Amino acid sequence: MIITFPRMGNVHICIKALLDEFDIDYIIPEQNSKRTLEMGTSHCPEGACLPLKITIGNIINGCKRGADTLLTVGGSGPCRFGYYCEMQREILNDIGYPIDVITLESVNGDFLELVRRIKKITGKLNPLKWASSFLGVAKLSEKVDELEALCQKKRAREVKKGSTEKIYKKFNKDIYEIKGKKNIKDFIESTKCEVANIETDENISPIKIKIVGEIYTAIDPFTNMFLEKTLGDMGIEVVRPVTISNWVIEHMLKKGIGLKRDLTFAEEAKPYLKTLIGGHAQETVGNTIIAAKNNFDGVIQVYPLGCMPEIVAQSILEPVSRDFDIPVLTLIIDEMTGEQGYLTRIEAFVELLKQRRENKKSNYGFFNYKT
Amino acid sequence: MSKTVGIPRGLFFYRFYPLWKSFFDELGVKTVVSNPSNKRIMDIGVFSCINEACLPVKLFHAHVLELKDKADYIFVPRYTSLSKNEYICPKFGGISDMIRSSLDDLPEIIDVEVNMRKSKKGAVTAAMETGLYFVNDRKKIKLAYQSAINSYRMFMQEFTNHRIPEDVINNRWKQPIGHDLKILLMGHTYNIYDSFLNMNIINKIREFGGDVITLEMFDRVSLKDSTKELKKPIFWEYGTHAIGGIYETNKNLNVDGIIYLMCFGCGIDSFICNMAERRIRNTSKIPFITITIDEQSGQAGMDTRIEAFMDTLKWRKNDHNISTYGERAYLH
Repeated sequence: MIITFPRMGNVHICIKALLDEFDIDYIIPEQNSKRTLEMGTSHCPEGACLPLKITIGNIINGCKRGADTLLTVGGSGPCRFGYYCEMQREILNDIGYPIDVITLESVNGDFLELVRRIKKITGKLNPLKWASSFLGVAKLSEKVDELEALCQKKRAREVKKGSTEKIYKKFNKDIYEIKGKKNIKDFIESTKCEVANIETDENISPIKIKIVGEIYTAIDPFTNMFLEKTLGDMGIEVVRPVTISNWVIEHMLKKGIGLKRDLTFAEEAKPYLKTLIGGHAQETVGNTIIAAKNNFDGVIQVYPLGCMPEIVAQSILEPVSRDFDIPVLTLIIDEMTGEQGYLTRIEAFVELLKQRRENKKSNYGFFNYKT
Repeated sequence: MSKTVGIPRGLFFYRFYPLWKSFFDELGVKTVVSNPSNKRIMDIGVFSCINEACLPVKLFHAHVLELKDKADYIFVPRYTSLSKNEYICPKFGGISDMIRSSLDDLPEIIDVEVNMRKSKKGAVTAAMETGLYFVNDRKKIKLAYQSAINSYRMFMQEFTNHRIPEDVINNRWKQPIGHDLKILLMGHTYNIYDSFLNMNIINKIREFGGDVITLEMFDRVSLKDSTKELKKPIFWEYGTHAIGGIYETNKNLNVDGIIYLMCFGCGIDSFICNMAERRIRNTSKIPFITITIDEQSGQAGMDTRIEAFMDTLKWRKNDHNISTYGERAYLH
């Protein structure tokens, strides 16, 4: 059994650590690129959302290099992501890769089935080891996120432009060579030290933007066309509340065991969006309100074309932006999105934020964006 | 003076209107329904809703606007789930929030949540909450709900006679004319029964000599049973019905062609249509066509495709008059 899995940002680091724990053979699909997307797009239904297209591209890449089992996670709706596992199975079987799909989920509360599936991967029934490895990986995902957040902070303030990116790129390349949870953790720590030592200009107070939206597009740099890096290079501090660790710990572990989750965003979103409608809609609305309360300069919402929950959220962000006086830019991405048009919109948005800040300082109000 | 409740003619109107109508009648509440969709309504919808929403949601926005000055309340329930462990599209759960955020100066919106994911009692709770807006008598509301359910059952019964909801609700008696071609028309109820939105597809098919069968005409229980073959149950109510319908069709083979009508940008359809098509192509030889519509679709393009599809079906029936492509050419 050789396992492959879909990529999403730095998730592969965590899955790699997890599979190393159990000594399982795996193939990490190559980094997301135009080729991945093209491969996926040609085999997917045209109306499917972008993450499905990219993950199909990933899995094909994994299969071509010898993988025969797909490890993925599921869900029980109503967002389309919950049915990805079956779509992936059907599409891949259709184009001639008889792949076996192992989905880590408990369908309608069938916990035994989940245990059976984990056993299928690890080979042995050893709940203690499972628990310790899963917890360890959850902790590791927090470390990865800390590194990402640190990079975002440094990028906006670094004296020599590009020094953070250099270290981060090297980290992304070298991580493939490192095996084992502990070694990976040490490597992340040492990279973090390196990033922390980058010379920065502490006098500037950069414009702060929060990125909200659908998780895959928000997390995966290729999918959002390196949004974080682009903004960082413009000298803007980016904060992204939807992270891998948040997803693993809040959505999978805590929800799975039934622990109390951190639902501050839901409380904030209540006046605008009463119920949970799946996906990250409530997070998007809630985090936008939190951003406004924490004096962020702006919010960028990203989502793939046709994402059902985010369409509702986008519609609701309009009054939120008005009531809390915070500019919101919505970026919708699909396989046809052109880079230049995308960049122009981001640049224009950033200019607007800068102008707003100036206006607030001088109280001119000439260019008041509210009309 | 008694209050008036506005019921927008969109989304689940063609599914649940008889239920809510009789419910409000029993409570002595006046109801008003927006006009059938037309070009003007669609234009209003396109302007008042965000671009990314699908056409039915845009139309729904316009139908709500139509009722703005006609009613004291507008009835926009949140259909989160209508069956055990199954959901509706996420947009249905957030539709009242979408409407509140994009439309101004509306009368009070009744947005009770209909959630039957855990238990069937969710519907009664929703009815009770709705009723309490008007009368303070729980017993009366319960009775009203009972009779509403009865008229809903009668409404469902009409489908087995091959009548479509649009005709039943508008009191038109249009029976199928008994053609020899049987067409399975698949799609969400709000797409296939709104004759403006789908450019009159049902009448078109009948004109070209086909009997229309829709998913509502199947037995719901057997639809659900036949999806047991799936490795993972589909968590959308519509998805279960559609794929169940495909399995049933494959088993009985009494359908000559399948037309799948979907709206551009529909998340559920993008998956279900793909699954349906794969199952039909892998296991049977029934012709399958997908038609995607949005607010820009042209009538002529639609007519041409339906006509061409129907012609193909007629040729298939007549063995000697078939194109040289395809397997059947080699049979003799």
